[in-house]
Amino acid sequence: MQDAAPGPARQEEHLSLLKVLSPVHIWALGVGIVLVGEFMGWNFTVEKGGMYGSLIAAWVVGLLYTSLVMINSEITSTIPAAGGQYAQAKHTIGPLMAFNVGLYLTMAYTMLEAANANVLSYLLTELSGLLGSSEGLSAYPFATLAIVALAFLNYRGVFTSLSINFVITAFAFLTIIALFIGIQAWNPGANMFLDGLTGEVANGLPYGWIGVIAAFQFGMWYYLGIEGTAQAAEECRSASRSIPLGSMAGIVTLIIAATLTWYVCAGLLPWQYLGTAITPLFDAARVADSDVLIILLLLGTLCATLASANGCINDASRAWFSMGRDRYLPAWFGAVHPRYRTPFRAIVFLIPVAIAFAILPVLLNNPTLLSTVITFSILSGLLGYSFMVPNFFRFRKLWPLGAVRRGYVLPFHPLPAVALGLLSAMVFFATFLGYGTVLLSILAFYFLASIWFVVRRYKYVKRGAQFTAPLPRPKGY
Amino acid sequence: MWSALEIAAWVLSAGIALWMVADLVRVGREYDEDFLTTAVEIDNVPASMDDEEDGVG
Repeated sequence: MQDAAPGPARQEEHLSLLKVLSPVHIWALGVGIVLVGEFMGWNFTVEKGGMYGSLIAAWVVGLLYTSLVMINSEITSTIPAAGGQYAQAKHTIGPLMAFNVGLYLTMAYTMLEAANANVLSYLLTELSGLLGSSEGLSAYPFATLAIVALAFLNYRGVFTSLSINFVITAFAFLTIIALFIGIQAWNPGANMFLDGLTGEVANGLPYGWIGVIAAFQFGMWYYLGIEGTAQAAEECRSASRSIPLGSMAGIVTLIIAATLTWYVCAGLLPWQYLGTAITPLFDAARVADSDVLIILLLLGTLCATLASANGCINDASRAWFSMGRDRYLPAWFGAVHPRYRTPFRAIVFLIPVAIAFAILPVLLNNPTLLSTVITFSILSGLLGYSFMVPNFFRFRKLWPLGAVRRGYVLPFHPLPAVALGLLSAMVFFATFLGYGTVLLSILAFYFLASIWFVVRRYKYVKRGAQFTAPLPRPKGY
Repeated sequence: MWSALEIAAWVLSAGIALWMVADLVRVGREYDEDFLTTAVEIDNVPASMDDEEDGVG
């Protein structure tokens, strides 16, 4: 279970996070967090925009994330620090933006982890029902166990936790392929009924183009979290190679998975049902009427949920840890375990926070609280994306091409950054249509947190911590 | 059977959580706080072959 750490560190040495990760782990981290969105969540795009609206959302939001991954790859391969986008903002803009981005990251991943634990306990409850149990299985113990056990894995070492993530993520992805093959999806006449996608336009676009835009908010489910690959940069053997390779392979995997998922579900389930289903891929397997596929997709859903929660613990703790290391938060959080070389205090601190958000919707018997938790996670991520646009322009200005060695150079600059900005604005608008009040509440929360930072915390921030990467003096400084 | 599973999940959660808290406290006592909280952020030296072998193992 424990990573092969090079023994307890001596006190005269300087501690650092263990550099053991390769592109495979980066792929496992990025895809692992996201793939659960293919098993559940993406289908709410169908409710908002119909079948074609969902497909358009998958590809347009896919463009947003492709731009994001490319931008991330260039900056992170140059500034390979834990905290990812937080470290980027710290170097390019300054402390207030870095604090906000760090907080977005922590909240986005912790909330997503809580939602995953909640869903996991729901799946186990369903499983007990399938196995013939008449008792209602309590969600609390299993949600709590999932969070605590995965945190333990992360506490003991990043290599093991992300190697396990690779296995369960790859398995979950293969179950989608298995479903595609099992229903002979290449032959539309075999098991699929695609009549709903042909004929009248209303079949595929029941609410017209405004429905398509409204679908963008849930279109983020296809990819939300792939940007988390940047969090592991400090633990890569070679960040300049691993981050671009792992992240690019990740977004390609996700676009394929999103398209396959949409196609299979569109052919097996009526859109009115699909738009509100909780586990659409599992339901598609049930319609296919194959015991093997049913078991595979149930296991795939479970594995995807576990992988997502595991990746979220990894990313949230890195963001929290790096803010503690720079004294944006109390220094206590910035500690590295002398044996396992993990940010152990940040990992432990976030456990009760995640458990609280996981069981509160059940405790208060308020399912809409879960959707609020998920929306909080999505919006926190989205705020981070929109901040990456000015960050990247500033990065290119401070360290122009040729000034520093880059592991990856973003092609067609500034088109990807402009696309990221425009698409983020469109998704903000889509979210406002569906969750206007939640959006404003979240903005107010971050505004108040910023005031706290400026008034109470900024005086403790390490003044030398803005430029910690071994880069030449920025142009103009 | 299911209630037994629920109890087992609680017991396991409590055991793991206690182990982590105990280890966290032990490390805090055994090591100097400055040593724990001054981790190097970006170390440009690539991982040695030893590290790689350790990682794979």
